[in-house]
Amino acid sequence: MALLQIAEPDMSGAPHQHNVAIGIDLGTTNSLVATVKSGEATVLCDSNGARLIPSMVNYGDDRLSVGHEALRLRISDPANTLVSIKRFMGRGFADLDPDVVYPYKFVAKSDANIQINTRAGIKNPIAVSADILTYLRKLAVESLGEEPSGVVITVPAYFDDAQRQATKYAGELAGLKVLRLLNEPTAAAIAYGLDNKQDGTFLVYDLGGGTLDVSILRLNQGVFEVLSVSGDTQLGGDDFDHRLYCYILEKANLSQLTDEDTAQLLSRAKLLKEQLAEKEKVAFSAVLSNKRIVNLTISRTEYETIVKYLVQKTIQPLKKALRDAKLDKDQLDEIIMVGGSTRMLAIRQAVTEFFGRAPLTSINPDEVVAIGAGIQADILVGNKKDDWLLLDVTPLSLGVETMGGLVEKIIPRNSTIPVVRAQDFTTYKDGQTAMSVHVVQGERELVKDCRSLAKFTLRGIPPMVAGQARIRISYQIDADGLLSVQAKEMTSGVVAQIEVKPSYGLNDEQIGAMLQASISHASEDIQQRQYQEALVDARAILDSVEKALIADADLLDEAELTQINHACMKLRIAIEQKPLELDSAGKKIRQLVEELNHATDSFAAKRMDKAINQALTGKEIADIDN
Amino acid sequence: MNNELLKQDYFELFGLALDYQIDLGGLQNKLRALQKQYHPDNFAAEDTEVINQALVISSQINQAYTTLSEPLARAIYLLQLHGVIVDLVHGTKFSNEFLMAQIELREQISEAEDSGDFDALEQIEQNLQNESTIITAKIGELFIIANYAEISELVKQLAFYKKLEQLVANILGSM
Repeated sequence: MALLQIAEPDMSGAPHQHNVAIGIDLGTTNSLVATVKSGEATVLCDSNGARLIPSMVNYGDDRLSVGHEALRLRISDPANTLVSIKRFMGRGFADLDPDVVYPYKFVAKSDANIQINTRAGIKNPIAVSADILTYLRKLAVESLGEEPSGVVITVPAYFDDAQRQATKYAGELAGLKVLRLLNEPTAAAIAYGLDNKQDGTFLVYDLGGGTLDVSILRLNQGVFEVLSVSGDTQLGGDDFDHRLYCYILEKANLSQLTDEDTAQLLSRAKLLKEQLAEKEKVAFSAVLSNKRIVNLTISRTEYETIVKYLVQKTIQPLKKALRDAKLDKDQLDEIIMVGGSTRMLAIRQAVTEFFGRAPLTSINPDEVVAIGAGIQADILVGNKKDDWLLLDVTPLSLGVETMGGLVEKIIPRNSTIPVVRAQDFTTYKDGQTAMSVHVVQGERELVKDCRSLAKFTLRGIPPMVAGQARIRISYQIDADGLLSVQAKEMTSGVVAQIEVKPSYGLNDEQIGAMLQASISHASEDIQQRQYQEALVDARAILDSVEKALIADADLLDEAELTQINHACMKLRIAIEQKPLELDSAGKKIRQLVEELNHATDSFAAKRMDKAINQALTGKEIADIDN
Repeated sequence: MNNELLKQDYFELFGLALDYQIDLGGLQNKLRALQKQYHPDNFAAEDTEVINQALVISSQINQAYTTLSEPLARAIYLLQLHGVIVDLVHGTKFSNEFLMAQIELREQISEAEDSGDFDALEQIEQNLQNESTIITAKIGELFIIANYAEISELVKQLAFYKKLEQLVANILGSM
């Protein structure tokens, strides 16, 4: 590109090093992407200007739709439109609430992890989340013009290990470098902490679509410490929608609805709930598939009565968080409200009543978590040093099964992470050479009441008298809250060691299938990158040709000028078109760049001559020889 | 990264003398300073190996902090540094008086739990904490005169009270 070199010598310098990182709030109902641009955290928009992207995926015959497009398909195609998939992350078939009616075709299998039959085949929650994350990644690339170098994904503080592993895995499947899983309330506190920049103790009340998270944090000398976390993984805005939906059925005397009608009334109930945050009374009407018309009016008082028990259920975890942090209500400096569901007046009133003061709501409760994640991502890729450090805690106790189905706790909940703890166990039979280790998570005393994370067998223990062998089991929780377990026989010098990562309820076959899928994503990723690179090159050459024309158009005759302008126009049209197919679109742009280069060859030569002539003017021959 | 840190005992790591009396505020400040240096988040953009190394050191710092900040764990750890291993499970001889008091406390707790008496449980919790404070103070005095045998006995008593405290906290948390 001869033209580039002489027209814009300052453009040839290396692009300045700024790592773009993004924060993703992967929500139950909606997801958002945020990044820090010139020092300010902003939520990115999709091509339609929307900031909240519905966390929904529709699996069509030959088409995958995510976000608003999936939302539109939800009513006509509920069985293939997966919503609130976050609730299924790291969960088994047995965990499904039997009272909730889902429009999906679950695959009922004995190994019991959740799988859903869709038109595009069997999908598990990790794959569905990966599809949402891929969509968000592409949105970020489109908006930022480059691949993000890293991402922070938020998770409910109360997520257990299986749920965290599942989330991180989904991120990796989507081709993202996951720098950190960040607890949602912590992210919110970061967003507010940046605003206030003052030390203090904060309680974050985060009521999202599917979960309630309560965290107490202290900001002190640049270190954010999480003092305690509490919450309810099965309580959120969706439950309020569902309660209202049931009430509508009751009031209108409806039963035996089709899947389409159920989906319609559920989304109408959600809308109704939102309207009741603004109005005292809302009229409701819907036409069912059998042409029956439902007309109802629901008042806020009525609504608040039917959801009262849900509101009260959200207050319990506040007490627990305070107890765990060893604090009284009046020792808190601020109460922060997060999550769309905190727009409900009944919720705000109940929280205000409990604490005896009004909570902070100045940052949009839908966006505050994504903003915090974006800020943390920016720090982690090294754009901002020495700002603050986050010391998080593990939300649930980790233990191991001992004789009689009892749990021996090894790491108590609310321990600051990262953390490593070891505990010694022994054999109970003479000559015992193997020991099975069962890792569980939860607060209860009995194994059957806790969540099973992993089971493995330690073999190769040298035969000894019962009680002689010393087996050390160590648990390591990293900064993401992810666990790995190690077991070692200590006494004999013979080391039998095994390292286990909990498998979050997926079998080898499923993991294999997902890896396969991610490889096919990878080729798409390469095409995406090549296309982006072609775009960058095209913009650069267009820019420099334009500048050269402004400076030196007089060097060209009319035919040359027309030819260059024509080539520019063709390239401009090509880069502005939305690519139907990345591979061919990228190649087309490359070809047009070549054509423009070719068209400007003689222009470049003429400018070179002019530049040399100018440089020589007024100089002695002797100077030139050097 | 500084692997020497892993060889230091917890007191050295936190720049403290081998002393049972500890300034908790100072301990917290030191924790923050150390974690600002060694927490894996400081190395998020680096290779896995560096991150793993930071993970090990950072975990050790947290473990040291937890041990030093809790009176029971601190006493057991300090005894260990003085060559005295406390066996909390075996060979414990308590006075009849102590055992009777323990049984009585357990009865009070289960009575309050059965009748759902939140206030009574909070009162019991307060009493237990007071008892722990008294024992902790005694342990502090005994460390000054290096009476490790006596400390070992008190540590076992303290472990009993801590266990009850935990029990009450769990009951209160689930009420």
